[in-house]
Amino acid sequence: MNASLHSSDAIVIGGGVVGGAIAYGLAKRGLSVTLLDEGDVAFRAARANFGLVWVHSKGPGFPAYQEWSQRSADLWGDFAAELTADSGVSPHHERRGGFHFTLGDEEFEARAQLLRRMHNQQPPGRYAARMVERSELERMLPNIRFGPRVSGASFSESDGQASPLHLLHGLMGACQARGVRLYGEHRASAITREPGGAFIVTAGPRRFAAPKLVLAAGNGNPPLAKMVGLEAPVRPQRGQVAVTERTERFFHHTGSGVRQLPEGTVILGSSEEEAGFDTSARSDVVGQIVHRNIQVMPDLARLRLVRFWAGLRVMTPDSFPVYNQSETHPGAFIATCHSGVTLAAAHANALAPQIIAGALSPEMAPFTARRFHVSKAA
Amino acid sequence: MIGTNHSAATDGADADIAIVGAGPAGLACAAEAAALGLSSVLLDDNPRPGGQYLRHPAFATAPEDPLGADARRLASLLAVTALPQVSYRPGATVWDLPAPGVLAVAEGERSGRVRAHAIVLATGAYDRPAPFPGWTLPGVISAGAAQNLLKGMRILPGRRVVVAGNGPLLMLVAANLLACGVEVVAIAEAAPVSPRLWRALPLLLSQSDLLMQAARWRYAFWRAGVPFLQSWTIAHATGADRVDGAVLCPLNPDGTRDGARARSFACDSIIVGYGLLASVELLRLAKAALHWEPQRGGFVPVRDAAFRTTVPGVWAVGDGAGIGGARLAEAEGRIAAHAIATTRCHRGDQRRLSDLCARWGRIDQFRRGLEQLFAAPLPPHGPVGDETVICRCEEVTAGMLAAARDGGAESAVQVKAATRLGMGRCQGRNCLPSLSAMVAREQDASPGEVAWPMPRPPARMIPIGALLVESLPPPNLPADPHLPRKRAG
Repeated sequence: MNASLHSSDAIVIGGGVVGGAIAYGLAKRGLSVTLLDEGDVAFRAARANFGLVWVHSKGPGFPAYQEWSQRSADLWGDFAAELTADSGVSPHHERRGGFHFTLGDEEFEARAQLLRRMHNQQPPGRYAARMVERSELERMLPNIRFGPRVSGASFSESDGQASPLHLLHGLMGACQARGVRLYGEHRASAITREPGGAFIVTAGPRRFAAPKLVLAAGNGNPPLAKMVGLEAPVRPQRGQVAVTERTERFFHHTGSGVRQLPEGTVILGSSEEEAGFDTSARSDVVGQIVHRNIQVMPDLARLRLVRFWAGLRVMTPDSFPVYNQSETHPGAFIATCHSGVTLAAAHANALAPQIIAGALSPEMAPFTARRFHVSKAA
Repeated sequence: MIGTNHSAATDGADADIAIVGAGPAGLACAAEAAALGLSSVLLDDNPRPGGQYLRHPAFATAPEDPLGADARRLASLLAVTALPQVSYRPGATVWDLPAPGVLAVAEGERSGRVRAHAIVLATGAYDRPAPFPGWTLPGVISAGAAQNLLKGMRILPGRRVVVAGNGPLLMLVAANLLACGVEVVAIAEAAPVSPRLWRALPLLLSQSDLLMQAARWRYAFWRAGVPFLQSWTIAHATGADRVDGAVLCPLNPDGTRDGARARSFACDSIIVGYGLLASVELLRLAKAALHWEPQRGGFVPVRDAAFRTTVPGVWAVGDGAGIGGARLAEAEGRIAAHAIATTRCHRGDQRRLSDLCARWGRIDQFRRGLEQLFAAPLPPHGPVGDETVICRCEEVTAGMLAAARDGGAESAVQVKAATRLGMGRCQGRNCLPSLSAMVAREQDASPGEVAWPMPRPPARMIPIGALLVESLPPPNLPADPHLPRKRAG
């Protein structure tokens, strides 16, 4: 038992893409940071992430989230460059636009309606997505033979993709390069507060102290949040993804359910299942995923499936992120979302400065967990 | 059910037993089950039955060759596929055990599920990967692949070959090559076999014909002047775009190479065989308890005396459950059939079963003798060189693995995530053993203590279309996973 106290300016709990991006953002701005991770037992959402940097259907009915996603997507290019420079690992970011393919007229019409709604909740000229009819789709993607039921797509130039694994690996490398002290196999078990104001976190055999604390432990956040007067209304939601063998690059854009990695493998996704913490992959669900995608691109059927797997999203009741500073324990923040890849750039370069300043900006107010109290009362 | 001669399978199952693999273990299991009145589905991913051991007609050696005779006797098992109680399905890839008693099978138009009351996994083994500088050069061939070339296609791997590795298969390959007129330049065997012979002899005498065969091989090597270097290993292969030589080294007692005493041999092919690994992919997917037995093929299933695994209704027999050779595999297949008949409908034949168990015991004695003889440090024997490719599917080099570990990836799971090692078409079969050996060495632990990444279906690559033929519930996928969801429940 090592009773000595490891002190730093900030402690981030959770070594996934959310915690990693925030720790990197804090360290880059001069803070000494401790990053605590529970290790391989973690339900590492990044390892099952589909890898989209996606904007165009995010946030209907929640303009702040729409704007936050757009902002992160716009920050991603520079973020990828600095991450590569600091870590030597490229997150393989590409921004060539994203499609959501529709089957039949009904889906096309519903999608068009959604886009109108999204368009109307943004300032004029801000929202870039548009509907693309089949004939135009075929002109835009001449390499792809579409199935007979494909009626078109929605398309936005804002969307792109990145490799979740390379992002995670790069974040860990960049954190180390910026002096973040990384403790793997250190599951945070208790948080107290010193009379002087610093938080004391017990993790594994060690104790850590810092005046700032960020909870970014995904589905592990709820018990930690209670210790510092925060709320983490999250549940695991299972998503399954399938990956094929490598093939010549035919799809340089990205798609909401299908994308191709630069090295040639195709990823198909994804499901939404309420299955608690059960991460077993199920072939019937993957069969549905494949079915949908083959209707869009029949030639996918000629590829062989290498692997499919399940991961757990970190899902709030309304699916939007939660960002809060504790009222009872100022200096303690929580950040939780299910779009850790899309939002990585914003977490590192827009959220981290607010944490350093000691207050979340007014535009973050809609993300408070208090919004769930209101809906309960209503 | 007792006393009927009909198949006991009822209630929607395709058969009493589903057997995965039509090598000696699977064929013997189907034969014994048929004799006991049980029906079986025999699924095999090869186009023809027999597995690796009975691949096509056995290699023609001298007519009095006892191994040839053994192969001929086992070849009679091939007739099992024509029995009415056996539904033999070649070209069928079993890729998951999605539920108790259910196998997911990809076989073209018939893709889908096979249901049975008992599942017998007889999945066989494959060559243990042993990376060294130059191991990916054309002309470097695994021992198992060399056997397949010889037996299956009558193709010689080269004219002048170096044979390096560990275990009895190595001697068999060298002897076969010699018999075909290939010049065997040298044999490097990692174990000090000769000094151990006297201690292992009592065990080895239990299969005296196999022992005699080995003696004849040694005599043939001696007569042909082939250096049989014991406690030696391969250091690296030389050559620009194909092999032109091998550098062999003595092995230190700590399992590292003694580079100072290296010897070079010119050759046009290197046969490498550091033992076999049990194919336990399906057992991993089924979450069967495995334990580490490096001499028996790495991680092998925990089994009871009747070869039941820890997964209810799942048996594992033959080399896929622990390397033991064709004779042991045959006995295990038969014993498992009896155990299943007993649990299924109390139809076992106690006398026959005890005969089989006695036979199994004698063969297992021989196996233990071989284990004593051939125990040796696992490869890699020392540094493999930064440029050496470890994961061939994703082209991950040893240098990239070292960089990932320097970057903070400590466990095999983290290294996989950082490098994509093991994510390619072989599903990690040919690189995860090397990675776990390297991680174990760094942590000063046994490879058995290194946790492998979670296994993912499918156990083998399958055509995407194979998933579409499953009977699926109506699609209830989200139209767009980025849209907000309703609250659960």
